[in-house]
Amino acid sequence: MKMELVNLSKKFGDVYAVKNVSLAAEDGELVALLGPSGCGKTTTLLSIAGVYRPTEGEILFNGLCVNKMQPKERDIGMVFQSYALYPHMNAYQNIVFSLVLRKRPKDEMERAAKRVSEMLGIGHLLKRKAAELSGGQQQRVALARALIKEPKLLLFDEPLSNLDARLRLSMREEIKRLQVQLGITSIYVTHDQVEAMTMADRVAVMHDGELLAYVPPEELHERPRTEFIATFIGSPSMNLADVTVDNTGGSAHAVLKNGVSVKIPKERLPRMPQRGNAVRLGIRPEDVSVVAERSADVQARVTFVESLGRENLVVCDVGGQRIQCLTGPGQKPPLDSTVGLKLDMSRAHYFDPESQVSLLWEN
Amino acid sequence: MKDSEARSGTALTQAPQFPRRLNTGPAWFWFLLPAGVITLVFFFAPVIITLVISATNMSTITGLTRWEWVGFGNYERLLSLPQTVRRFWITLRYVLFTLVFFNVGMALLIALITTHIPRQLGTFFRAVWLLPRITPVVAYVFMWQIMAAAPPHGVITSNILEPLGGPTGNLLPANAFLFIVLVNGFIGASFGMIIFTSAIESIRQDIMVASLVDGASKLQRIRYIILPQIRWPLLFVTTYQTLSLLTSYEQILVLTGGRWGTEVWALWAFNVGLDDYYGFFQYGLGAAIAAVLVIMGILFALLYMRYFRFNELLHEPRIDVL
Repeated sequence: MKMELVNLSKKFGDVYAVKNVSLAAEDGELVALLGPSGCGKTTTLLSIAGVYRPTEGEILFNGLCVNKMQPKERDIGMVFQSYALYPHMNAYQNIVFSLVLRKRPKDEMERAAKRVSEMLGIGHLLKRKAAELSGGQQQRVALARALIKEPKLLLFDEPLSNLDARLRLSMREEIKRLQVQLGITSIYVTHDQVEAMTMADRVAVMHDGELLAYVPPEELHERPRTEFIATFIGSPSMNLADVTVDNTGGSAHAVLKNGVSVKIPKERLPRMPQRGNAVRLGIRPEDVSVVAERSADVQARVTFVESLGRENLVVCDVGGQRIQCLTGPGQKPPLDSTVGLKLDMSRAHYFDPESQVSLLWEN
Repeated sequence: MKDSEARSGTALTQAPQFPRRLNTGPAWFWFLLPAGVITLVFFFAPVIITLVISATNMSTITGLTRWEWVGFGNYERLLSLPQTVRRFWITLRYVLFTLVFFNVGMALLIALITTHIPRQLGTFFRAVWLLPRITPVVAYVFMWQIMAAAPPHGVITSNILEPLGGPTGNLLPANAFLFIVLVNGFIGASFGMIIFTSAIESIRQDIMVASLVDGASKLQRIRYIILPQIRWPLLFVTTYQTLSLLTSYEQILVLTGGRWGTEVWALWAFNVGLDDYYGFFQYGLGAAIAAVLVIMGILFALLYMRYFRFNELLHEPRIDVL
């Protein structure tokens, strides 16, 4: 089923929780709503579910406006962060609850419950109450409860946030596998960018109730349209430095505040902002390397080193400018030493310091 | 705690042992003492004294010095009295009707309705329902008497019945039972209302949303989610209100004084033991009547606990060190 939001806004009192959001999820697509807490992603989800009425705009299911429809008429399944299993029912009763409400015959319920519980590997847990199940098991029951209705649209509200790290990985894989296999259009709310990047066909980045970008995951990382997206996506987050672009005499250079200049490759030359030539340079920690001083772009003092196992995070100071870089496991410069940094300027980004819009990618 | 239990417990018991002085020493005794004394003096002692007096012929004639033991004499007299069966049925009907229609029924209805309408409106209606409870009993019952009175003062008679050509006398004698249920019910409903409302509002929001998404209508959500979730407060209010209705008589005393078939058991005990027009107070017989009430109360409480499976609602604490 195709799900569309057209200029969707939701106000609580005088405050816009969601502001003028438009996006479309194609049939079978998994769309992640990604953003920090309070960005309006859950409000958007609950509006799609029919729990909230939109203040303005429309929600379309296959082109049909569902604004006035009750949740039960919308043919949706939903999975919650807290699992939201009914505590007074056992797993089986939880799973078949929607069928009980529709007064389906008992044997149909049993068959359907068998089908989904086998799909999720919880056949042996059906007699247990919610409190007697582990977090992962509860989430499987919740997933079974959502799937038994054969919904046209699946809504996930941070379903993995309460699970431990290892379980989160396996559930992530499983949810994605099921979603592809069943081909159900899905909206997946998360604040975890890795979850969004790995699972979603397209990611909608939200901030302060507004939709900032709606693109495939790779593009979000490689071609961020705004400074917020650039720093929000990727961990550790992108280094930012105020520079001026010196485009005189053949080649272009980015000049840092302390006078150090780095050459900008021709194919990565940014547009100039409307006023002046001051821009904000963004470069990801993985695109900065610690090198021998003679081949370095800049000299830096090491202020902090954090061992991450597979790599080291080296925090440096370049004339008052903080720059983080990721180095290989063997490369761990001592604190307060001076090192040379090489910036891979063919992967640098530039933003307008005023509008914070990318000067490389079209909006 | 027994040793065998401790060993079969969780990993907590494997941890370094905490000093168990609280368990073995006399500390628990001192902790329990204040509550224990209060319970004994104010809860057990009156029951014992009632039972003791019920085995005597104490009255205003014998005074506190010349009474004699009569054993079960008072109870035998109770059984032979023609009023006994009548009082019993009046009480049962009064408790049952007030409980079902008001103290639990109406309370639940108000709680459900006021939690399903805009919040401020809900709070307003609940506040209105609290008025009978905060009005002094005599003033409150007086309002009901005015309500039922004959014209020109009666509110119902002169405003509704008279213009319609209906009966115009005082409504109270003919409808006394209805009035004692209404008078008590309008006070009693607010107790359950408050408890049910807070129980409904503390049901987890995600479960409410999940049930909507699962396709529950408002009524289905009440039946399948809200009612099972507030089973414990329902048990509590039903039990508590049964017991307080069994022993309540002040409103009835002020409204009818027990006339017109409204002398419930507790009022009977009061009238016999402490309120005779001619000053003949039969303490012994009154105590026996009251003792029956105590036994009925205990039976009801046990019945409710079994029916609601009270034990399943409580979990053994998992903390071992206390």
